[in-house]
Amino acid sequence: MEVTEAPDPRLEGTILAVRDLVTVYPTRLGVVPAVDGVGFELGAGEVLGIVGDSGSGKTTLARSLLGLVAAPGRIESGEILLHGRNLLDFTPEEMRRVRGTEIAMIFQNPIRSFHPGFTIGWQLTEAVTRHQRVSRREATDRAIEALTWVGMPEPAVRMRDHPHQFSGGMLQRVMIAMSLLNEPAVLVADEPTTALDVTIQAQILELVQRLAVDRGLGVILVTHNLGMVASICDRVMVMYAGQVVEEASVDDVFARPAHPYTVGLLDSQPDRATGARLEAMAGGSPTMTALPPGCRFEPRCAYAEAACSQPPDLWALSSGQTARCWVSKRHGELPAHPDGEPGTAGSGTG
Amino acid sequence: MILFTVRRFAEAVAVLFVLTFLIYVIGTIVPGDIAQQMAGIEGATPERMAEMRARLGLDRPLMVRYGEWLGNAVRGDFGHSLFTERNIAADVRQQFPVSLEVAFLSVLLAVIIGIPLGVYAAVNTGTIVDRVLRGISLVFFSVPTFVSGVLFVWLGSIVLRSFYTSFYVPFTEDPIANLRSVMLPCLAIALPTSASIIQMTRTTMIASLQEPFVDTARVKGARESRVRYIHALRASLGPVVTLIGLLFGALVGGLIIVEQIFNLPGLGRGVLLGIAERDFPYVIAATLVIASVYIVVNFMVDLLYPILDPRQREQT
Repeated sequence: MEVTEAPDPRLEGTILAVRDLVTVYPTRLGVVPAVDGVGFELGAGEVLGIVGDSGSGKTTLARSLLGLVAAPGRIESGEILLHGRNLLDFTPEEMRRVRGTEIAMIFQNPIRSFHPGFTIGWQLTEAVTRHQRVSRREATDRAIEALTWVGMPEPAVRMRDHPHQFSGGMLQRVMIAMSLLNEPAVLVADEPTTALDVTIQAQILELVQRLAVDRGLGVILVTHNLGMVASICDRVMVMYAGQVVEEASVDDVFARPAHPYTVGLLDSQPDRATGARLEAMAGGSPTMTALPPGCRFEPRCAYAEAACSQPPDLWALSSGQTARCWVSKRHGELPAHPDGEPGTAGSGTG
Repeated sequence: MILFTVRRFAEAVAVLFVLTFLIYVIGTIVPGDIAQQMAGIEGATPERMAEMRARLGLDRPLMVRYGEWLGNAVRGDFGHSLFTERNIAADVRQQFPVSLEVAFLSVLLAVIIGIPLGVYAAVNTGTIVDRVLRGISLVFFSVPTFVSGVLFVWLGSIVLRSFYTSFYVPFTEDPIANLRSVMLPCLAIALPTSASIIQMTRTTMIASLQEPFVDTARVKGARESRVRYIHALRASLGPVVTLIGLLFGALVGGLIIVEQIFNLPGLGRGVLLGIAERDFPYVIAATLVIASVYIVVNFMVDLLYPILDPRQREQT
């Protein structure tokens, strides 16, 4: 596709930049802002983790990037800049051509994500022929080559097999091969290992990371699993109730989480080193049609203070992290322990 | 796959064999026979009736008669009609193509109408068009054939007078005249039939459109029409094909009313007449042909399943 305007110089090295994205679902109880003012940037070869509970908006965000928000949901405002061009200005046909060629996506359940009635070869070559006028032979050759990238043994033979003849892990490899066929710039992986055995999960993640580095592919890894983030991501974006509550490098997030929700997420991860008991986070996600007026995490937050009844912004901290938290803002970081009972004002010693 | 085909074929033959027995026995034990029928007409004495039964072989044991009948039937000889005294096999050979043609064209028309509308309704669930389609389906489905048939006859003889002919002409003799004579009966059957195809397609399509592989197709950059008609519809076809097979089987013998109304010399009309006249050799032969169509169609549908859903190939 033609670049219609001069690329924004601020986006040097950036493939994808999302600004103030708002995606809403109208419901009987009101309009739900499933994605509420999210922004981030993704560079070539970078793996960005998007972490959050179910209902935090992470999957809606992922689908928004490909223009696949299921009706009656819609993208309300914001910008999705791919190489500087705003995808929200694209016609449906232009968006169709972006899907697969520039932004690809892989899903949770590889077994159900392939059509049971067609061969793997048919489904792979289809990805080529949707976008390029090539001969059947050429498309087949490219599909076989893509299968070798993901380590499929005997790719030419397996092209004739149907999805049910593969294991889940192998199918996810095929899915990755399919996503790479048209050499996209961005790969969105929505919980790509959730449905797989633990031993296979590591292999798939390693494959994704290697492909990102080797091909300069920007990867957005959507997950609720912080362990997965730690193993392959460069940066993490934590989402809560449709908003980004913290964004930082992986090292920073694990060393000094700057938002109380991130602390809760870390505490609820199993830790082999200490073998400590898992801490379940108190409370549940807020009802999206009746959000707290201030900080959306306030009702569950052990750090909450008077200021938290006002909506916080996503502030940059001196550590280079950003966090949507009044307490972190005041202290420059999140104190080690909450210094007050929930709902009362604290005195602020770290 | 070959083993599967052979086994299904053997099953079909076995079912057909059992059917010949059931049809023969049921056709024979039904009270009343041609002798009584003729007695009613001619006012015959009991002696005259016994004599007639003996002449027709109706006094011999059931199994003996069945054995003899089966032996002849295998050779394509169904004997003579007790009523018209014509050769039954020759009659059926003339009537069967009429019913087969009307059933086939009706189902074809119903599929052409039903599948696209079913897909449309599934894609636009809850919209006005979807609701209107459901309403129309319900109406088509509920109006009995003897009402809609009469309406179509009226339509044919008043409105489409220059086109519709009420005398059946075989396709082999004059294709155009043939289509002119079967068009309206086919339409009368196709509309209620398409109603059930619409609803079945709609239901299975709604389920298929929820499947993750539909998103995979979109993510590849497939156009929405391709996502619907290639990916989702293909996955929805199993139940629809089963329904079409059942509808077709039911139609070949189920055209009694339509054939009567539209003056078509098919099997349905023949069976109706045969039953009325207690002409059991004819009724048995016609029923056997109708049942065979069911078996053949089911056999073909069975062969289609593993093609539509490769997961079933291993289980065979």
